[in-house]
Formats: sequence, structure tokens, C-alpha cells
Amino acid sequence: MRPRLPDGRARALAQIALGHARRHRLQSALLVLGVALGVAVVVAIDLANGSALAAFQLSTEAVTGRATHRIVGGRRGLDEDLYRRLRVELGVRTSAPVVEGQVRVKALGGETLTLLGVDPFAEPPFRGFLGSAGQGAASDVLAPFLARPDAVLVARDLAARAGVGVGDPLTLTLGPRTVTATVAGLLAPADDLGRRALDGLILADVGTAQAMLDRVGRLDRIDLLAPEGDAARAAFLDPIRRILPPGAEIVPASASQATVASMTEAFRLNLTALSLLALLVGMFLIFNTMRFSVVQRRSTLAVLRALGVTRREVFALVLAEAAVLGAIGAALGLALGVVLGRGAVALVTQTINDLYFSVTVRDVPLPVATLARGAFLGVAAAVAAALLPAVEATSVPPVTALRRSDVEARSRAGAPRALAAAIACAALGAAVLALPGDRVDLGFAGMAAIVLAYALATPAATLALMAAVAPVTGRLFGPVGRMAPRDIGRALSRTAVAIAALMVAVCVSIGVSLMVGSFRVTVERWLADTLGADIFVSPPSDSATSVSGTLDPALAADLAALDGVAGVSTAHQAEVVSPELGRLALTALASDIAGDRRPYLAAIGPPAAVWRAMLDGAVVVSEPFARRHAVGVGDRLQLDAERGGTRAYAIAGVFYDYGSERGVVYMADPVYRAGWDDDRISSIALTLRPGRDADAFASDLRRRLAGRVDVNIQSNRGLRAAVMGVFDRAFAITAALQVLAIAVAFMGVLAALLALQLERGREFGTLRATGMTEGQVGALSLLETTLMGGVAGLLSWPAGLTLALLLIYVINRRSFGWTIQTAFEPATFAQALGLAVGAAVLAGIYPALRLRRLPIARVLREE
Amino acid sequence: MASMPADHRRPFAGRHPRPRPAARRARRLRLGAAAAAVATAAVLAPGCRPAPADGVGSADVVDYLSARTGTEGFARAAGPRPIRFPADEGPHEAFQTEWWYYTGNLAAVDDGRRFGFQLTFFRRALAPAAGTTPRPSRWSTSQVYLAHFTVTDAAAGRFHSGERLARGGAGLAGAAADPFKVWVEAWSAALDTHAAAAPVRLTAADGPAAIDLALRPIKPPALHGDAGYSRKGPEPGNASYYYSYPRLDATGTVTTADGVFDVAGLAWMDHEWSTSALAPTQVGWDWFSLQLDDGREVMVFQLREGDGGIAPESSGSLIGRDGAVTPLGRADFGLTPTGRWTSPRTGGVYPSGWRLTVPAAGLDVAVEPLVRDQELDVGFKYWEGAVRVSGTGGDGRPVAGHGYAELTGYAPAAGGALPGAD
Repeated sequence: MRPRLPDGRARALAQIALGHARRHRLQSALLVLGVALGVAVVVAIDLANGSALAAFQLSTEAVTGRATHRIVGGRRGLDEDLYRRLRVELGVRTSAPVVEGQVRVKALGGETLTLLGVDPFAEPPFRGFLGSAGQGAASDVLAPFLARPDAVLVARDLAARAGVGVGDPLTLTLGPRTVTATVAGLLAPADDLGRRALDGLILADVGTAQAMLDRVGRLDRIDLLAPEGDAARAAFLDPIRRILPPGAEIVPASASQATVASMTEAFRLNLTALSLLALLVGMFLIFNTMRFSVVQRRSTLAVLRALGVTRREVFALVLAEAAVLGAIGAALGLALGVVLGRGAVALVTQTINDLYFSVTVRDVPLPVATLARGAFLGVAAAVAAALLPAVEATSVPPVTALRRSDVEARSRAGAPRALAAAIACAALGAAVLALPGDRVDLGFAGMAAIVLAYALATPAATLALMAAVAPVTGRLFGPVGRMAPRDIGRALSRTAVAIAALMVAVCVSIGVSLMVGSFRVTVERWLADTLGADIFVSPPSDSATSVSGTLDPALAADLAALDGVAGVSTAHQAEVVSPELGRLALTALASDIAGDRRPYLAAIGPPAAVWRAMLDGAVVVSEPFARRHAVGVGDRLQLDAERGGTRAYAIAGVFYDYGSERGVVYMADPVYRAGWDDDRISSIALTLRPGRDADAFASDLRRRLAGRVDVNIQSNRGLRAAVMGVFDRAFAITAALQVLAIAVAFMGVLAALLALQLERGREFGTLRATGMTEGQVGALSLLETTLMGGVAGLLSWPAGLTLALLLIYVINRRSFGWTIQTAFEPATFAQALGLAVGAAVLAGIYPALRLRRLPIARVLREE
Repeated sequence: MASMPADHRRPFAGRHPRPRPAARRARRLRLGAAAAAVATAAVLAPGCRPAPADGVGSADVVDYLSARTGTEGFARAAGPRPIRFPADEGPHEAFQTEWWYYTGNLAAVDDGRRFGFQLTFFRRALAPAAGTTPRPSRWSTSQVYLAHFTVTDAAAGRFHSGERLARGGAGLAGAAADPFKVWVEAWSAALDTHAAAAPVRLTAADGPAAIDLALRPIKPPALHGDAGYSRKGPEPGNASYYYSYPRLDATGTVTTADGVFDVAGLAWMDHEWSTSALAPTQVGWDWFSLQLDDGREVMVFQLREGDGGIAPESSGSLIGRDGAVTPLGRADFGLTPTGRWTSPRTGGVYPSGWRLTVPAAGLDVAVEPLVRDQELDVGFKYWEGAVRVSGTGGDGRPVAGHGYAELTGYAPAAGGALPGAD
């Protein structure tokens, strides 16, 4: 190629770059693919997270409307008379009563929707649904909506899905009860937003909803629309505050959305961090490829410099190449990410449904921001990774091309420097992790620094390992065995980066596997310890980890009378208010079914003593609760009891719990019933007489209750399986990300080896000319890749172990507040080594095959 | 007034040989129905719309609630029945439509500044209650209440109007006979059993305007039609039950943007209930209730036909100093507009100022609005405002007074066309 200078300089340079890319198509393609995969993973996770959150916010907005504040009550909501006092005595007009509950719709296959009870006369300032009913149907709607005892309104789309029309019955299941509503009208939302907002809603009059939800006399909340401006807002809210009954409070409407966002923040952050890891591995690949292409073109660059191309132009040339390839990769990555994202949405929303709240995502909108972020990350990662190679390219002196050996010598000399940097990086990471506070993002930053430290230590470790392994391979494979380790050490500038990339991918795999494995074992043990009953009866619900409905209290007595039942215990999941900590989840236990096996992190004594203290009015809290609210054994928890006002409850223990990251308070049933006017129960646990088969008993019970009571009956084994099912679903996305990160790493190794082996063609040509057989050259090439994979695999062990410990003791504890007992599966390490070597060998096959067909004469002539 | 003995109305019974003019009821009925209907439409119209009554679906709703509503299942005013006090002062939920109408003219005690007010409560049943099973929630009801409130400040030339709409359940709105009370949210008319002579107390506040008045009857209730059974068409069911308090002593306070004023004056009250859906042929009506300083009251109205003519049912009443009611037929009075006013809101062109003559009573008076713009800016646009009267009252003696006028059907299209007239 003859550059035409000085005219069209930039174009000439571009042509040089293009020519290079064309001649090294495979190399360029791999780089593009690496960027594409990295970007795809980031975009997919971003889309999935964003869609799940957007869907939730939309459904929250649908029920919150334009309210600025809301009055909420204690566990039982508000006395409806408060609303009358607001309207009639205070003349507060911008207020709207709301009764809401979750109902399951038979016609939608048991899908859970929100039954929203509203007052159409109070609605217009708040929610637009009734307004959007205007076209056509409206005139016939209001009268039946108010006057018919069972009238509900649903969106037209929802009605179509359920296969119902105006006047048709719609069977709704509400906890243990079933009611038949009548579709009094269809809402035809004017816009897409309205359509999506209405998708999960069934609208009824307040009175109808009260009757259906068994909430007669109560409101769940009163929405308020306070005027703008502090003074006006205070003037509006203060008189309302003065008439609030005990237990009721005014909260900003945005609070619930913020709670939801923060609830899932840790979960989403974890996913995002994992997705960025895939991109990080991709960056290693870009770095490697760009650096190699610079080395490959050192003579071209030298000639260019001699022709008057400045250092700056060379620098720009390399960066521009990286940017272009990065952009192509990013574009492909966006397309792939959108496809992957649709799959990821299902996984993410399923997990959010299992662990947090019910959310339905039917559309995956494509936010421009997500796409822009993905594209930017792709190009930025490519350019950032190419910075060092670009700097190196500028150091090529004019004309006198450096011999490669000089570069390699420099690289070997760089190994100690990289090691020093590794130590500094590790120290930095440790320092960040040691910072006080529980910030999850800092945890990830520290972890990233430590992983980087391992990567930086790779060159030194590779040299050391090669020196150690050379005698062994020499004895095993003869000359080829002696050459291979030496070659790897000599070509350190490229081999080390490829090894590091593979090592990072594999160590992430080890770390995540160990963490998930430990977590799984921990949860299994915990379930075995705490589920000390044989049969569990709960209201039908969508989630295995939380119970939202209630059971008929009489059912417990009925079940106790059954033949074969040795004992019955009930639990009730309630929400109570603490003056300091706000709303708390509380479970009232008739007895501790875990008994002596209840695992306590800290307690005043053995489980039996703790239970005695609980019967005397103490409570125990879960580990996430203790961590979140910084309380422990000996502290006192203030709770607003409905009878007797605020009371302090001593904390007698902190128990391990993996059911809720929000944390939960356990209270003895008699203590709860004494303080709260609530006789509901949310689950029943049965202990069977010895010799009874729980599964058989459960299916028999199911048969007997079928058609009479709609409850969920599970044997101990069944419940454990269900919980583990939730667990596995929660980590399905993690596993998927792991695979993707390894795929990117594989791409990197392939690219590095390919370049390496092809580039060493001359060397191999010489070897062949000096009498080495085709087979020997192929064997040399394969042995080298195997050694590289082996080094990556071995180095990934300590790195993976470190990562696992950080994930368990830093990330999980900070994100979710629970302690995972370490239970490391040795096979994980063996698998990781196998994975690394396998990937490397696989990546080495093609270069080895090409070497065998090497035209010796031409190669030598080129030399 | 709540404890008014039945004897007081006896003298008026039977002096009304001809059925109460149908159109009078038509007017009020349809205003009641239309107002409730339009306000209901406001509920159904998007909340962001500045004028809730316009646009989407309101015509449908109006049709539905006023003209086309089925009357099946509701009680009908099928014949004369005794009107009992206080039992009949409360709601008659078996009937579809009902209203309690208060208007009055007041003067500030210290400087005589003139004020007018209107506080009206409409009740409308969305569905007959008969035969339905009771529902557990106190919110569940088919009774809907609507209220309109206006204050006219003659000195400032200001007029303020507002409305409220609520269900007749959960204590948000409703009516009761004994002790008498009718309310929509914070607006109410209620018997104050603690105050001397147990007045009915009116309280309402909207924006800068508020009233707090005690009303005591000076004259007994006037039972219209046949002892309160007021026919409006040839069929027996096309009728209503109807009485008025034509002269109520009013004292209390009126609040405007300028402050709180101690006031005294006279008020007028109507209470009427029925189940009837008229087939409307009129485009609007002009209605007057005038309280003269010679102790008499005049009530007249004329119904305007679509072709510009005046319907033959247009009529009125002359109530003597002793409370005796003399009916006035279409030919017994003359009403001539003397001025015009164009609404800046709706563009409607209203008459503004009239000459009213009742030759048999020797009455020849000019009727002038206190403030020209007394158009209600609520879901259903109409003009209802305080007027002053001056002229001769028989035997050439000068007479003066105050009263209220109601003008409908002048605002164009969505704003004020007679709903259901299409």
C-alpha cells in the first residue's frame, strides 16, 4: 500500500486502517463480536430492569394518580368516617377515598389484578380512567356503577383477554372467598399509557369494593392533592393532621414508589454489575486485539512516521480504528441486546414477582436512553481499551522498525511493573471495601479493583508458572514441550492479556457459582430447620415466599380435629407501625414450629428460652431487619399497638431468615392479639402423627377441601420444593449472565490465539524448514493454547474464591442483609479449570489447523 | 318552618282551581335533572378539562339522566296527598328527582350594601331503590346530590358561583326530615334546634365567598296546586308534590373577598319532588320570584318555545299579605325585556332588565339585575341572580322590593342549551 501524501492524508490513513482490517478479517470480526456481546448483555439487563420497574411504576401511577399525598392508616386502614370529616367538616375537596385489594380472575387463568374501589365523584382531579370512559359507554355506566351491588369496570383490552363483555359475570377470587362481579362497562383509554395503566385494574365503586374485599367501614387510604408551595401545602395539610386518628399519617405519594425502587435496587444493581462484567471481559478482548494489530503493523507505522505522519496522527489512527470497530460491535450488540432483553424481562419480572411484589410486564418499551447508554458503553469501552496500544503505536520510531523481540522484552520487563500495579490495585480494593457503611456500589467497586488486581498479576504469574511447568512438559513432550512454555513467556504481550481475559471470565463463573451454591445450601438447611411441620395451608397466592391473603380462623380448628393431625400452629402476617421505623412486617406465631432448631444469629438463650420470653411480650427479628434498622438483642422495638398505644417490645433474638430482605418481626400470637384487634390468620401448619405420610395427607386434604375452601395445601417437601423453585428462578438470570461472560471471554481467547499463532507463522515456517513435522508444529500450537487455558484456570481459583467470599460477605450482606453460610463445592474448581482449558483448546484448534497448511517458502521469503 | 302546622296551608288549598302550570314544574324539574346530569357528566369527563361539562359524552349522559331515564320502579305523584310537616321536608327517595331551593336578598346591617345568594340542593336517584337488597357498605347508594351556591355583591359588582356533587351515602350528602337537614359535603341547610325559634341555618363556602344565615319563616308555606299536588300534564302521574316558603327572615353573615358582612334580609325557599320525564319542546325559560315591600310576593315565569313564542303554560302566583295565593295565568301578566347582556364566557345573549305588569293587582314594575353578570359558571350554564324591583303597586302607590330571576336556554350549545331538547 502506497500512501499518497500529503494530500488526502486522513483518507490515506483511513485506507491503511481499512486495508489492515480487510486483511485480518477474522481478527476484526472477533473484536466486533466481543464488543457486540458485551453491549448486548448490558442492554438486555438494562431493558429487563427498566421494564420491570417501569411496569411497576405505571401500575402504581394508575392507582396513585395525580395525588401528592395520601393518608394511610394502620394495619386495618382508616375508618371511613375520616373521609366524611375531611369533606363535610373541613371542606377538603381535593381528596379521594380508595379501597384496594388483590383479586384473582378466573377468566384470566388466575391472574392477579388490583381491585380499585373509588368514588367517581371524587375521582376527576386524581385519576383519569372514568374520564376516558366518556366515549359511548359512559352514559350507561355511572348509574349501574353506583347502584348495582356487583358492578365493575374493566379496560376493553382486559375484557377481551378475559373474553367478557358488558353485562357478563366475572368471577373474582379474594383470599378464601369467591365473588361474582358484573362487567357494567368497558373503559376505553385514550392513549397507550392509559391502556397500560388500566391493564392490571378492575375498577369498582368504593361501596362495591368494600363489600367485595370484606372491608366495610374501612378505607385503605385517602388520596390528597395538596396545592403547590410550602405555605399553601402546610395550610392544606395541617388542619387534616389535626383530625387524624391515632395510627393514621399523611405520607407523600411519591414515598411508595421510592420504597419500591429502593426495595429492588440491590437486586437490580447486582444484575447491572454482572452485566458490566461481561463488558469488562469484552474490553480485555479489545485491548488485546488492538495491541496486537499495532505490533503487527509496526513496519507500516514506521514507514508512515518516516513519511511525515505525526505521532498524534498515529495515535488517532489506532483510536479511530477501535472506535469504528467498537461502533459496529455496539450496533450489533444493541440489536442482540433487544432480543436478549425480551428473554431477560421474563426472568427478571418473575424474580421480582417472587421476591418483591406483583408486577405484570406485557410490553418491553425500548427507551432511547438504554440504547444510547449501550452504544456509548460499547464505543467507549473500545476506545478506552485501545488507549494503551495507541500510545504504544506512537512510540514506533520512523523507518527503523523495531524487532518484535524488543517489544516482548519490554513486555517481560513490564511484568514486575504490572505486579506492582496489581498489589496497589488490591490494596485500593481492600481499602474501598474496608470503608465504613453498607454501600453496595462501593462493594462492587472494591470487588472490581480486586479482580483487576488479579488480572494485572497475570503476566508475572504466567512467567512463574511457565518456568515451573517447562521441565514437566519437556519431559512429557520433548522439544515441543520445552518450546511451548518458553514461547508463551516470550509472547507475553499478547498471551498475558488473553490469559487474563479468560481468567476474569472463569473466576467470575467460580465466584458466582460458589456464592449461589452456598446460598442454596444455606436456604435448604434453613428450610429444613425452620419448616418444622408436615403440612402447610395458606391462601392461594402467586408467590411461594409471601402470603397476601387470609384464611378463615375456623379452619384451624377444623383441621386440628382431623384424624392423624398431632398439632396445629397458625401464623399471621401483618403490618404494624413503629413510630421510629415506619411500617414493619410482623408475623404472629401461635408457636414456633422450628422449635429448638430455630437458628439464631444472636439470642438471649436457647430457642426454648427465647420462646418463653416471646410469650412474655418479647419479639425476635430477622437478620435483615436487625441489619437494616441497626438493632440487636437487648434493644427495644417501639410499636403502635391498637390497644394500649405505643409499647416497647424487647428484642430477644435475631434469627436467620432468607424469606424477606425487608426484614420481619416475629411476635407470639397471644401478645399480638392482645395488642392488635385482629383475629385473622394467614397460614396454618399441621404436624402429623408419626407414621403419616405428609404428601398423601396433603393430597387427601386437597380432595376433601376442593370446592369448599380455596386454599393452598402443601406438604413440607412440596413447600421446600416451591421455595427452592423460587430460588432457582431468581438465579436463572445470573446463570445466563455467567454463560454470556464466558462466551465473550472465549471470543477473546480465540482472537488472541488466532492472532498469536498466525503472527508467529514466520517462526513456525522456520521451524518447519529446520525439519519440524506438520504434526509437531500443530502439537506445539495446541500445547501452547492448553497451557494458556491451564494458567487462566489455575489463576482463576484464588481469584474466584476471593470473589465468592466478597459476594457472600460484602455484596449479599450489604444488598440483602443476610448471612450466607459458605459451602464450597470442590467440583466447581475442577469445572472451572476444565472450562478454561476447554475454551483455550477449542480456540486453539483452528489456528493449529491453519499452521499445518503453512506455505513454508512464502513465509520464509516474507521474513 | 319545619314545624309549620298543616292548618296553615289549608286556606290555600282549593283556591287553585287549575292545576299548577305544568311548565313551572317542567322548568324546575328539568333544571334539576339537567344540573344533576351535567354535573354527572363532569364526573365522567376528563379531570384535566377546564370546563367539565363540555365535550366527551356529556350529551349522552344528559340524555340518559334527563330525558331518557326510565321512570320504571319509581313512585309517581299519582294524586293529592296530605303534605305533612316536618315529615315531608326531608327526602322522598322513592321519587326520582327532588330539590331544596334557597334564594335571597340581603343588606349589610351597617351600610346597607346589597347581597344576593342562592343555595340549591338537587337530589337524583340513579336507580329505584324498591326491591333491591340492602348493601353492606354505607357508600352504596343510588342517590346523587348536587348543590349550587352563588353570592352576588352588588356594590363590588361581583358574582361568585360554585357547585358540589356527592353521593347520598357515607355521610357525604343527604337529607333528613326531622330535624330538617340537607347537605352536600360542607354545604348545608339544617334546622338549628339550639338557636332561638329554631331557624334553618344555611352554611356554604366556596373560594372567597361564604354564607352563614339563619332563616325563619314570616309566612306559612304555600302549597301549590291541589294542596301541594301539582299537575303538569294530562296524565295523573305527570305531576309533583310542591310547596314554597315565600318569605323567610334571613340574618347572619355573608363573606366576600372584601370581608365578612353582618346582613339581614328576605329569602325564598322551594321544595319539590316528583318522578317525571317531560318531553321538552321549549328552548328555555325566564322565571321571577319578587318580594315586595307592601308585603306581597309575585312569582311568574314564561316558557320560550323553539319558534320564539311563549308557551301557554307560562303563569305565576300572587301571594297576598295574609299568605293567600292567587294564580296568574298566561294572560294575567306581561313581561317585556328592557335590556340585553352578552356573556363573556358562553357568548349567550340574555335579557337584562324587564317591565313586569300584573294589571289585576295594579302592579307595574321595572325589574333590574343587581349585577348584570350573574351567570353560573358551573357544569350547567344558566343565569340566576338577584334583582331589584321598583314601580307602582296598585292605586298608584309606589312599590319596591327585591327578588331573584332565573334565565335558561340563552347560553349556546354545550354551555346552556336546554339539555335533552335536541
